[in-house]
Amino acid sequence: MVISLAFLGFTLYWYFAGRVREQTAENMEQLISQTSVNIETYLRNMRLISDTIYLRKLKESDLSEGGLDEWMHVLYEENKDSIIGISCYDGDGRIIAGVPFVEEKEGIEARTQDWFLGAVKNGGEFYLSIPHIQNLYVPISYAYPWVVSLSREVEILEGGTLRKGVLLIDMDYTAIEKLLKRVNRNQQRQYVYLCDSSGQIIFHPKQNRINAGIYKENSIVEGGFQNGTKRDRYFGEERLVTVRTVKNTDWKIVCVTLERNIWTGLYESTYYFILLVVVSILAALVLNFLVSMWITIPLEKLTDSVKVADDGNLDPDIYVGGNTEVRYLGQTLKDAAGKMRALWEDFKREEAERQKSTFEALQSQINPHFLYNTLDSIVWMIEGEQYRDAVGMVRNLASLFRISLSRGKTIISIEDEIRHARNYMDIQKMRYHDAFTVEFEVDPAILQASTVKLILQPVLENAIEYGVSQMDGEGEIFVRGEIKDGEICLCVSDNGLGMEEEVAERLLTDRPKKTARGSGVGLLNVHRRLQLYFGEEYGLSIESAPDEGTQVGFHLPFKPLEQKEAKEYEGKGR
Amino acid sequence: MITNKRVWIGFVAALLLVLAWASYRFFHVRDIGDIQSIPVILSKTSNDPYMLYRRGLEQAAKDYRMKLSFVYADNKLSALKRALKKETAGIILEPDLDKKLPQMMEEHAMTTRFMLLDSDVEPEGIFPLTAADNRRISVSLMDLIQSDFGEQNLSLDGKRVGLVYFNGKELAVQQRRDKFVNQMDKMGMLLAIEIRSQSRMEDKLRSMFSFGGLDLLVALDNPSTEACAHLLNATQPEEIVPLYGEGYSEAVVYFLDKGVVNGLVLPNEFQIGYQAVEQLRQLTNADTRRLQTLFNADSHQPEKETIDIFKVKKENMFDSEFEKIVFPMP
Repeated sequence: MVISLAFLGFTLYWYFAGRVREQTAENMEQLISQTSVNIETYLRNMRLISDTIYLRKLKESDLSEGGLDEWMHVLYEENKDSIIGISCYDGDGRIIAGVPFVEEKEGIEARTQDWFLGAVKNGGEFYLSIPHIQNLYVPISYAYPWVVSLSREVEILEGGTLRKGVLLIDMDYTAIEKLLKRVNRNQQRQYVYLCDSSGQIIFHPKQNRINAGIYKENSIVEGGFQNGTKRDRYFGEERLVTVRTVKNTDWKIVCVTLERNIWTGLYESTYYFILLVVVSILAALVLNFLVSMWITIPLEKLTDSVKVADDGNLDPDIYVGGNTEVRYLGQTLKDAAGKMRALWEDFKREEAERQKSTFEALQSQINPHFLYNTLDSIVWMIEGEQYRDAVGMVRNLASLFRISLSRGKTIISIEDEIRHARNYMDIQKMRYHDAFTVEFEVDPAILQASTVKLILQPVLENAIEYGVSQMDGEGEIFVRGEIKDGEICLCVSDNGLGMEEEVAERLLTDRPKKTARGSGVGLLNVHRRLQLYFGEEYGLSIESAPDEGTQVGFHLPFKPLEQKEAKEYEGKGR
Repeated sequence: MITNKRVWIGFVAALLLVLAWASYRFFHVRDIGDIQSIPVILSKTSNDPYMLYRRGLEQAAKDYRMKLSFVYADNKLSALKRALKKETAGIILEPDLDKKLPQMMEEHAMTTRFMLLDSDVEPEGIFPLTAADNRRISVSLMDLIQSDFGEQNLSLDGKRVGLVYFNGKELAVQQRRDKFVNQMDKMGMLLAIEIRSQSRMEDKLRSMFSFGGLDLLVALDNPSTEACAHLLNATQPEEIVPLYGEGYSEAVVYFLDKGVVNGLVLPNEFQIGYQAVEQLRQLTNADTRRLQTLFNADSHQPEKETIDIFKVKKENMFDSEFEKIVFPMP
């Protein structure tokens, strides 16, 4: 931005500088054009005077008839503001007539003077001299006027014969000076001077300084320039020079503008442009700084608040503010932190549940009452000399413990789980003296599928305890296993006392109804363990009605037990 | 990071500096300084508005935006005192022989710059001076005389000279006088009469003319040249007494053209006036680099600005070389 502003500033500056230069050249052309018109008009008038004398008097009437002096006098009087004198000389340089009447200086030979020689040389065409002191007449009051001589060779009719002569009009130099002084009011910036094609200066605003040797002008070079504007160099100074030739003369009007003066005019603009560029750059920097602050301050606040979270704070006060993007980012991070916190809470809760579940599973494995009652039953059998039954019970108990331990595995095959359930129910049946019947109907296709161990035992225990043990008639417990819609469905149903639907619904919630004989969390524990290992969509379902028995369904994914998968499940449950 | 910050601080500081500079220049670009008012103390005899060196002074004042206040005084000391009271930065002074002048100038040299015009106040040349070399003017006059007499195969030995000057109080004229007398001695010329004031000049000269006691007249300043020319023009003595002088006035030039004055030594007066102002401006601007050009590096004394001197005779006065000097353009 800084570079582009600087570039823009300098480009504009150079553009305006160029325009100023062009404008200067145009002004010079205009100035010189007006000056040229004024000088041409002045010179035309002088030529008209000369033509009037020559064509209407000298050519048309014999000099011997007289009247030339009167003619000259009238014309002189009409133009004496711009004319010093009018004279007519014969070819030998002798004066024929002249106004105003003055005494001729002794020893002056007109024919040796430049204006005379120039007129003769031009052969009838006008000759214009450079400014000089009129040195023909005795001065009045010590006055030596500066004149520019306009002379021409004329034919003079005298006594019936034609002879050559020279008609001279001495133009007042001050009249020319006045014309040029008008355009030289401000010489500091530019000036106009007049010279001939050989560089002889006719008028210069610094004439006195030039004459005194204080100032020099490049008129010899510039007098040779064609019309137009050129760049020139003089005494190390770059100049813009406009030249215009005065019509019908070899006079050149030269307008000079020093380059440094053009730039002097531009200095103000230059400093203005520099100011503009610098102020723009500073404004851009300030704006840039403010915008940066507007963006970075909220970002820094956000970063600081996130750093708190990095330090382990799970409830950081994430900054939400600043511009839209930063606010959105803060809000997103805040939401993410909230989700992380919730996940962490879930994780902690699930971990606690898993530990509790594991503990309860272990607890169910080594239920001391069960073990005490079973061993008490075995004692009774031995004392009652029912050795065969005792042996069977001990064998079942051994098998029960073997499967229960499962070498520390959590995932076992359904076949083992069913075997474990059978052993358990065999023992229970012996204990309850076959007060109920148990029937297993399991699809062999699911036997090698995997399941979390010890899920059936608590349910069977409940079926016995709260279902069939208190019945008057023969209780029936039915265990079924099958594949349904690609899932494994295990079902434990009894024809026991059943329960209210409301009570059944609450068994799988966080608020199971406690009974006098249990914590009420056995079924919920199984349910959670299944969900923990297989996902939320799996678990238990309970259907029950008073006096109509209870049916507990187990929903498991159909996953053949392989070592790898078993390990995978083990990992989940850990 | 720190380097980056430093670069930025430097950049902003540079921008602020440019801003300050550009602001200053922007608001002072048209400020070309106050117009200085400079007193110019001249001799009463110089009170002629057409004097070329006054025109030079005025032209330079115009070019350098200075305002000159001209004071024509016989008593330069009191005029100088009055000028110093105004606490002006500089003073242009055409000194006279009053010895208190240099003393007063030295006292105020620390606060006021002095530019001497036409002649120094003391031989040591403590103050800058713009002047024609007065001794060279005398030598040039003698050159003109020698040339004219030489053309006529006349010897200058034993020629009786009438020496006229009116501004005898001015050191410049004294210098001219001494040098010319010295030149006369060398040539074996005789000082027949020495006239120091206009009063009774005519009587004395007429008396000399009456018995042919003078071979030539030499006037050392413009007023005396003009007065002698008028007298010769009016008297037309039987024996033609050639007149040579220093001068530049219209009357003197007229008499040169008329042949009353045989030869004229003409210093470039415009140049004197112009350069006096130009140099005083450098002094008052106190630009030490420029000041060095005004003082000699070895002697540490002010450089003397010497001015062109033209030797003009009737025969060459209208030559383009001299015309613009003899007849200043309007």
